[in-house]
Amino acid sequence: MERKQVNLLFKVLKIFQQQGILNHVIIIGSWCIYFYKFYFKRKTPIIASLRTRDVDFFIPEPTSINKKIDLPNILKHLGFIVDFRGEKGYMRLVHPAFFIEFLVPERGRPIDKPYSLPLGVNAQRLRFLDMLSLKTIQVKVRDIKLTLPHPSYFLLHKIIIFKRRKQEKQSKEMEQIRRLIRFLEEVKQIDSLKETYFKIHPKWRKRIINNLKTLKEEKIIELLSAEI
Amino acid sequence: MEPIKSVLKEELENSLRLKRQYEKELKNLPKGVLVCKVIKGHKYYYLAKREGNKVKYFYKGKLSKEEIKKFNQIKQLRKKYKKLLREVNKQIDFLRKSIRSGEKAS
Repeated sequence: MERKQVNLLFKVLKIFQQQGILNHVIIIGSWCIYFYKFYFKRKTPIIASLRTRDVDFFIPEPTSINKKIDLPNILKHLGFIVDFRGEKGYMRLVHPAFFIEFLVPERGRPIDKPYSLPLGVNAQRLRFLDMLSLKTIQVKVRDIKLTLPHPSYFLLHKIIIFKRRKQEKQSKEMEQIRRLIRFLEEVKQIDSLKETYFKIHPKWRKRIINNLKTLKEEKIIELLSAEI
Repeated sequence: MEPIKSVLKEELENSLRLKRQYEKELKNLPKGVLVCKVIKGHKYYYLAKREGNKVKYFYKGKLSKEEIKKFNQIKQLRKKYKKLLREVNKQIDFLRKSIRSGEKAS
């Protein structure tokens, strides 16, 4: 299943590249962890993680897309169909192998409506996403350049948001955070976390420390608090 | 165990939703297959549709290349959706079994 799934994902990414969409997106969510193995030059995923079928494409600057593209129609021949979720009608492009979802940052006052993209689909607005575009990395896989958030920003973002998740998803998130911390320690990149920490908003820093207390990650709190 | 269970449940919900979506898409696709008959060197098209136990042929006459392409695309799409629907049904069976065996084990 996984090989089929990954092959289809690359077909989609190739289409995104041809349509010029790939320059505007950052892959986040559980699939981002899958792609980190290419950055760290590993054969296996950097951490064992439960991956759902959602492939999240984050568009930090949605207004920068000025070309109209009918993505549902382009992906139709691969078997993707449009699915509307919830009362607000968030759109996803769905296939048995995976679901494509677009996310944009929620800035300022909360807006209770999806963001309409010129791609024939809409996007969900989410808080704190901006953090993932502060520092990004690029990996080249099968001749496709993918943009991912830097692992330390990805981890701190996870720490910030895990409490906002539904109860049943929180334990999965907590497990992922712990594994990511251990991995960064293993590859001796845990210090990059401190550097990242001081670049983000003080309010967010406070939230990180509080959430780390819940996670009982005293060593990390110590590391981050060292220069405060 | 809890994170695995919640992921499996979420995936089952997703697959059930997907099944409904594909069934709806299949229902919305125009029915019938284009059949070509050559009469005295001229190509005439008929739309073959199943109605109960019978297959009925509806005369379409001479069609343009674009119209033929459109009918063929619908045929391909129907084939694709049917294949994916079978895949989704397998996923649903697998996920239900996994959740059930997980509940038994705990």
